[in-house]
Amino acid sequence: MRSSYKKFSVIILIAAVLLPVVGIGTAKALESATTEQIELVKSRCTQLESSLNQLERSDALLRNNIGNSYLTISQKLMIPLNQRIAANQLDGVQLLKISAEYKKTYDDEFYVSYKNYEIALSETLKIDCRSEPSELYDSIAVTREERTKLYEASQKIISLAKEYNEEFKNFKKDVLKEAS
Amino acid sequence: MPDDIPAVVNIEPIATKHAKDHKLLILVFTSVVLSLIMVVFSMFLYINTGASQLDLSRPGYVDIRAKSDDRPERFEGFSATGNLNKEALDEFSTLYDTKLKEIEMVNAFSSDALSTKSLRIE
Repeated sequence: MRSSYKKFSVIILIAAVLLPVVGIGTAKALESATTEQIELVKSRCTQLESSLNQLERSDALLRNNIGNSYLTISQKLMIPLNQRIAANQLDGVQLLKISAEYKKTYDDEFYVSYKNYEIALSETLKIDCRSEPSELYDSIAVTREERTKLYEASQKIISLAKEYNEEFKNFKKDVLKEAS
Repeated sequence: MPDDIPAVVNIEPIATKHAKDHKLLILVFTSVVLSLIMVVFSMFLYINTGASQLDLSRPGYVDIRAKSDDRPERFEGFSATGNLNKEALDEFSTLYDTKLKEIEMVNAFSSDALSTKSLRIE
């Protein structure tokens, strides 16, 4: 009882030390624009709007193409291989697990992140940079965070695709060893 | 003699009579209301499922859709049936490596594009 109380106290102490650090980090990420930055936003208003518009359009194309490639790997490669492994009564549990995780990441992280990012970017584009430069600056910061989440989801998908490849190589080695 | 026959009393409620008289109007009105409800429901689904964010047929995205349609030859993928011998495993390796390289090559959605530096608002 005394030992668990001690553990609890240590956890509280660590949390108390870490909380301000985390707080500062979060505040820094969303810190408000300085006067110079607001002036920069105002002076570069047209270019800024044009850049953001262009980004939205190029991202829509990228999302479509890369999203199709991610789906192709799942639907036309992973799933058929898993089915073929099952039909041949071989052990492909690990491959099955990775492909399920891959699909889940696509649906729950990549798809959702892109949706949130697109909403954030559209909201940013609605802001008038001449009359609301500070709001635009803050909105860009929020959109950047959403984009980072999307980037992370995208990287996770690539990492799972690589993992599947590595596992497939092991599987192939085992199958060929058994066959010989 | 026909004068002796009592006149038929119309006991039909007025509302029913009106409805019968304006059948076409009621049909049109009901159809419009039903269509409106269905449109609102579809729009709700379109926006809330995220389909609107991915829709390249939105105004202003026509040229992008044309570019996305400009894709290379159709990818058939790996067959789900057949034996898993060396040839089949090699075929899968080749197909998978090609697609893996494709996705690895693109540094998609790097946050640099929205950095204050690249937007020149540092």
